[in-house]
Amino acid sequence: MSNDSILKTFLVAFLLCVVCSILVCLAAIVRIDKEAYNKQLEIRKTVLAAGGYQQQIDDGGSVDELFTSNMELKLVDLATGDYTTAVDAATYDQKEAVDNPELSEQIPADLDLAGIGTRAKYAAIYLDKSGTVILPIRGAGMWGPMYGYISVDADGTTVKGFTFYQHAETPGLGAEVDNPNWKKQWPDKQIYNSSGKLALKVVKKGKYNSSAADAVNTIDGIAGSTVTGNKVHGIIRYWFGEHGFAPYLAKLKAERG
Amino acid sequence: MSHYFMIFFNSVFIDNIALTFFLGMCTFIAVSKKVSTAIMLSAAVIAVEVITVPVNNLLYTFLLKKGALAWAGFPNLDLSFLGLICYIGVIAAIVQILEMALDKYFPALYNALGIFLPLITVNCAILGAVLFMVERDYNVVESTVYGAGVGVGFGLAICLLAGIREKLVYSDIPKGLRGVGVTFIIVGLMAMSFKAFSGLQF
Amino acid sequence: MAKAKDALLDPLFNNNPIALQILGICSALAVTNKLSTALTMTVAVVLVTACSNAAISAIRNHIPNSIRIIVQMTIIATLVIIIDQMLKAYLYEMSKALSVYVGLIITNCIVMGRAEAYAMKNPVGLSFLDGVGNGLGYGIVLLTVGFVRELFGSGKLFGVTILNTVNDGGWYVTNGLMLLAPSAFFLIGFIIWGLRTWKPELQE
Repeated sequence: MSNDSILKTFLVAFLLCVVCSILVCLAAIVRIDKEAYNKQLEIRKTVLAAGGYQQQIDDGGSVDELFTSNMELKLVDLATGDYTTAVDAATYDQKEAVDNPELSEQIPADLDLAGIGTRAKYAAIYLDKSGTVILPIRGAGMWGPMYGYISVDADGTTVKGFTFYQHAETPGLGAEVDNPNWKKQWPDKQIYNSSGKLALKVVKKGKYNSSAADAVNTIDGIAGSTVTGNKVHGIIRYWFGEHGFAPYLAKLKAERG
Repeated sequence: MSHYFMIFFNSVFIDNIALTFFLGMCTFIAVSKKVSTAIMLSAAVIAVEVITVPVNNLLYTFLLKKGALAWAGFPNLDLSFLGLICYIGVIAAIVQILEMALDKYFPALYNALGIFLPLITVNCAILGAVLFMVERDYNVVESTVYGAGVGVGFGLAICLLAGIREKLVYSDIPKGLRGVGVTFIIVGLMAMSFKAFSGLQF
Repeated sequence: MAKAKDALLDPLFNNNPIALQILGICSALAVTNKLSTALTMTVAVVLVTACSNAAISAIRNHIPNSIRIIVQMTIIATLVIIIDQMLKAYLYEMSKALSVYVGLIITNCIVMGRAEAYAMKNPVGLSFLDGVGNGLGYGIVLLTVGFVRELFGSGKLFGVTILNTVNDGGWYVTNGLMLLAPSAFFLIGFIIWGLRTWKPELQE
């Protein structure tokens, strides 16, 4: 049979498609299970890191074990600050909820300091055994969205830890948000000042004064990356503002304190 | 409106596909010896980008995305792993159709652009733009604007480079560096100057 | 035997795909700011080029001329998808770092170029070696660039600190340019310069 006959052309094309599709499907089947686990593991790692368990992970502790024995998943209705069971927490995906008009709401432009446009109505937060809460935050970075977690003590104002697990900042400059040395200054900062007003801020690198009255509310920026610093500042201001976790943290404080 | 302008402006200057993402480099270096050919190539790239990015966007939204097949009764099906093969198929097909259409209706244009079209199928700037579109979750209008921006950005970069290379004929360059070597270094310098746009914020 | 050796070794220096054929520079350079991503990318490209060359060579006598390109493209795309899926399954963090660039191996001209220029005319074994050789030739450049960029850009090699940077309380002030795109162009320009001074017969 000649190679260029129509029959042979179709035959070759058909066989090629069958063989290739079988191979691709096999690969996809292997990937689907693994990837779901990998994603979960990544979230768990970040939550634990934000919750102050980084040392135990570095020492070889099992992420899954640490997570299941310490963390409890809860959904918070951001508008009221109450826990909610309106949707099933185990299957709730906050990233997907943002695109779902029933589960999300528009952020008024003047409040949208994080530059995200819409946010999910319910936030999936983690309760640590010690009473610390680990809150998901996100916002626009310099090059792309940033996703992270920040943990707050049961008093509703003391930061315990902070970490981004996804961002696209400039390597070497903005990407230093990942640098443990920079993240080290976050624990023990106060989100709200003594009169209960939102006070936590990220300033330009070098503008931090450790003896100033508001030093406890101030984070020194990142060297060479004022933009990323400003973005992180916006993210913090939005998520701890009235439209973010403020109602929830106020209730948390009233409950525990 | 300003949102679309931003996408366009970003993709032309700040996220220039050639100078910040290194895409379409083979064509970028190979077809930048003369300004006139570079302009032709840019026209072809812009045309292909403006068509393929939104078409692939539709393909992604209505067939491949997780839950996209809900209308056919498969609400949980996620076919996005088939993305690569579909996008490249769509690009190859559209380039082929464009080539045939040009040949039939605009023979003069076809004679000028013809040889560049097959080249574009394997130009990573096209597939790259499609993949970035998927990653950034653009809708169909946004992706048209984005496609146009990427095409214009690529065209701008290649015409600038061709202009520089035409002048380069008069320079005395060390032997080993002549040709491709010095072109890389020029591209590096151009990429650096494009970095200056990155501070722009709206 | 000599032919096999040529197929494998020629692309490393004498006919290096990046430095001389100017193929496949596209996606590669964006992943060279760390050695680990450069290495993963090298392995992925070697695998794809070798396997696609072998597969195309195996069926070369049965490919109708009219659908030649699309047949090659399908085989390459299949291999790339498999690699992409495997990375996502077993090296999740790496697959995030490489983002869209694994997928862009499809349009890497080396793969397509070798399929068309070599695999369509030569037996399976030789085509496989040619694929490995070209993949490695690409890899050498990638790893060299990655080495310089990671060492001077972040003071590390494979993520292990070599030069203690100022940001971590050390002495080394990192060269930020090395982490950005343009440095890769300079480095490749210099590599080409060096290669052509070493082997003057390659000059233009």
